Amino acid sequence: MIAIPVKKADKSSEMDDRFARCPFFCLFNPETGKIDFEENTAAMAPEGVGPRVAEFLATKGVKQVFSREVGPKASRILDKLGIRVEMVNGHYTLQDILNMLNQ
Amino acid sequence: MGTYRKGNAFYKKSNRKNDDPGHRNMIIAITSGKGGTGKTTLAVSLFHYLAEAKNEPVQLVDCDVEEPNCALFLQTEKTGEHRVDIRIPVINPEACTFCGKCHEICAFQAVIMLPPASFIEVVEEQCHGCGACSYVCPEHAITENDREIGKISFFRYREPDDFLEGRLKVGSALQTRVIRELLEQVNSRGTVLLDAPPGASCPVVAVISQADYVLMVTEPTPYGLNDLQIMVETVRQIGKKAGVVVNRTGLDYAPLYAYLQQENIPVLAAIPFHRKYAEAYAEGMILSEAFPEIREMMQSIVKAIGS
Repeated sequence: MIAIPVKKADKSSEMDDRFARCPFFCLFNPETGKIDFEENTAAMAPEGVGPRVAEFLATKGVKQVFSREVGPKASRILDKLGIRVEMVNGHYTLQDILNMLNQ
Repeated sequence: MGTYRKGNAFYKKSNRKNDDPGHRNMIIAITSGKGGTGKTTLAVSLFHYLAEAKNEPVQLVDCDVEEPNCALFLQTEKTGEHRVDIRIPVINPEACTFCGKCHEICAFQAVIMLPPASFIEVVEEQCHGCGACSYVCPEHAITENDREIGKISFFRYREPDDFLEGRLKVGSALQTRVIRELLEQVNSRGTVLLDAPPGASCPVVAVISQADYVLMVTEPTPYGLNDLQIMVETVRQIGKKAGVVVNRTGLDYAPLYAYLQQENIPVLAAIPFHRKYAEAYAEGMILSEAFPEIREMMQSIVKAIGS
């Protein structure tokens, strides 16, 4: 499973600039091609959001994350949970990332 | 000291060393909502006045643990230091059965757990050291290690330990814990001056709650007034006697004075906005040492608080 932070729970959404504080995650299953959206319920917590989101994604079976930004705590926990982070430079839509993954 | 665990100052009751009523001291917290209004200037001026001009027992405690700066104005000798620690849990994944009790009880979501991967770990930066996880663990899989969150330093200005300073370790966010341990060290039989952090949040409340009197420093600007109002509400909720020192008068902003009058808050001193004070401050001088008129103001502040 691959996670992408997005602004809206919609295929036409842009990627969100943030990782752990994004409002939704797009979860893409590269084997079946299935796309799901999950609300990020931790987004508005005052602190400790990064590790919680990393834990949440791990429970969803995520192995890879595409993001423009990842905080230091999130990065450490993602690493320990065996989730690979692909840093994305520049602004892309969700569709741009999905097209790239489908190639 | 009963059953509390080492390092958990949070749960200790105040243990002022002079609860003997014959030696009741007077604890004055110097606060401001807005930063940069002159808390430290006033605190060191009062300290110098009481220690030098009046030759009275006095203790100054720098409680602004994120940025302690009283020491910059005082020629002191450091006599001691001790670490402030919290107890950070370490979970042994071999003994853990992933029952999730620690994960559930943690109020700060510091336990990260992924049972299918046999992964469980505490995010140290988020842990407040409350000990709940090790208390609920049925497998005794959690041990605790000390983690430093700050330091308390003891100095000699005129008398041993008459100046204390708390300093939060860079990267820690547990100011209140350091302040509480610092306030445990207060032991003067005379006046105690607590130089509080700016703002009106938890660390400031921790300081004010130990005080007998709250001296609020403000300035005649819209920002000064706005933040003073927040401070006044805080002090009233805690139920402490309080008065105001207006610094930098001459910039005059009438709504400040209207507010003070309307709320019936006493003004104990008004320090004019003057270049000579700014210059002396910039050179690290104590205003009450350098200027007789400031010394007189300190005298009237002490008199007003005492009566």
